Amino acid sequence: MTALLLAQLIKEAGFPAGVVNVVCGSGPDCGKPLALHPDVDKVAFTGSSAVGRKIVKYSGESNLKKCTLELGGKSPLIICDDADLKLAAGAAFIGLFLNHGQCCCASSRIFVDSKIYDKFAAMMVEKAKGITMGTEEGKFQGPQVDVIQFNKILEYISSGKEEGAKCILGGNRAGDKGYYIEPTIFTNVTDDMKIAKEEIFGPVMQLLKFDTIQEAIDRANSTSYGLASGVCSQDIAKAMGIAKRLQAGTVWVNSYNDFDAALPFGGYKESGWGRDKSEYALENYMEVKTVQFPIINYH
Amino acid sequence: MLNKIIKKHFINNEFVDSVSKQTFQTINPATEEVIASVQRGDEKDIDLAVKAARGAFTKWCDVSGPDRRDLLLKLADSLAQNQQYLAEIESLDNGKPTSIARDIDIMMAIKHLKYFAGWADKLPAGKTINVENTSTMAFTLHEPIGVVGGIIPWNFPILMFIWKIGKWELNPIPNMFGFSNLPSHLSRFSSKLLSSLVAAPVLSNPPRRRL
Repeated sequence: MTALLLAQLIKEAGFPAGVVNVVCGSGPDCGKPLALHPDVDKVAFTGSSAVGRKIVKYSGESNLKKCTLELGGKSPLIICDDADLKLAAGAAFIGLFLNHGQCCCASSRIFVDSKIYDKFAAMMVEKAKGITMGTEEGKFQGPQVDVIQFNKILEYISSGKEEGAKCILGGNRAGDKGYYIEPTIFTNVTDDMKIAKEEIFGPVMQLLKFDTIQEAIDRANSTSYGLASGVCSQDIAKAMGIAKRLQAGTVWVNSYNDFDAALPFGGYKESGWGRDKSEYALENYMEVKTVQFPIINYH
Repeated sequence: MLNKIIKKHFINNEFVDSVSKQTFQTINPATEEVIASVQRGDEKDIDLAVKAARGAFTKWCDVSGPDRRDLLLKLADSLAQNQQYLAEIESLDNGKPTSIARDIDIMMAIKHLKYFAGWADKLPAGKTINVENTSTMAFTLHEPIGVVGGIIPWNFPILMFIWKIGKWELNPIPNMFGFSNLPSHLSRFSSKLLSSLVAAPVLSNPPRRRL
């Protein structure tokens, strides 16, 4: 709906006719014909990896239009034992619970050093208990966007419980009206569980335990995604060493979900092609034309 | 509050119904109540949007960098003036608390628009390159890619819209947005505001008349 309001503002601002057009509809009804259209030069898609694959397929079936894709993630955040725990808890909290967990870069696999694991989990519970729910001014968490997402998230919570993770906070629908889900935290999560592998897109935090930094890096990278990541440590050499090895388009150090228009955003591996935002993004919207001609060489 | 919004497609600067005349309902996720009925597009509407973008492309390439910059800045100001209203609509439609929608989504959208506006009159137009054959001269031109289809998700609709159209500095954009309550096998698409934005890229490549 806001896009239609933006269209009104675009018209009022005086953009020439046809420069921006907005069509509303579903993926199959509108996204597919757009990606298949023979006279579209490029598609810039933001959404799931499953649909991203379809976009590329449609490009191949039509005019080989260029594609940039900003897709899903299962982004790791590594909390080292020497981290400033207050700062780390803040990063983990905003990394996961921002926008009710509906962020493609959500820190949905939080690896915590075993030496501080229990303490950190208790801190997260305290912090998440403070979440205020509603859509009014000043509230933090609203409902999930629709009933499809709502049901999907509840299914993931059930699967976490069934696979042996320990639900230490929430785990249910909140209230009886609207698609609200309680802020939920799982401990004892292992890498093979569905909640540790698939994108949940809801307010459901997974805390995983590690013993060595090398192990944490290997497990963090053991995913087909590579959109974002994070590391919390007070040792700059350690933090940079981990940042160097993480296979992701963004590494937030001692922070998370911090955005700036000047910084590129996009994914390694199956999290996408190309970058949004920043100077880098402009390259995805340009062709380079070479012009060459003979000149007279005077001596 | 929703009365001010024209719930139609926006093609060639006109608000139009779907060719098929189909509509769909959008639901407030906080109350589970229907809040509006919006035109439901399909490939015929996409085709019209692409044609409009194609028609605008050459003309848009001839708009100077400073003029494109000013248009984007004007739009940014317009978003700023409507920040609270946009936030309230986003909240109703998407379930975000109004303060979050205003202070994160829309504030960031304004910042991104201004950032890209800054590129419109500064983007390098290309470079000259030394080549092996000294009796030859060569240079590159950075040209807009053409008609761009932007497909925008429901989780940050305003911001993602702006991420895409910021690069209008170069190209015209036929955009597409989706809506939530349509049954769909494309899961992420099936939710909320998913629209299709078909535009002529706006990038600040060298205006053709200067060549």
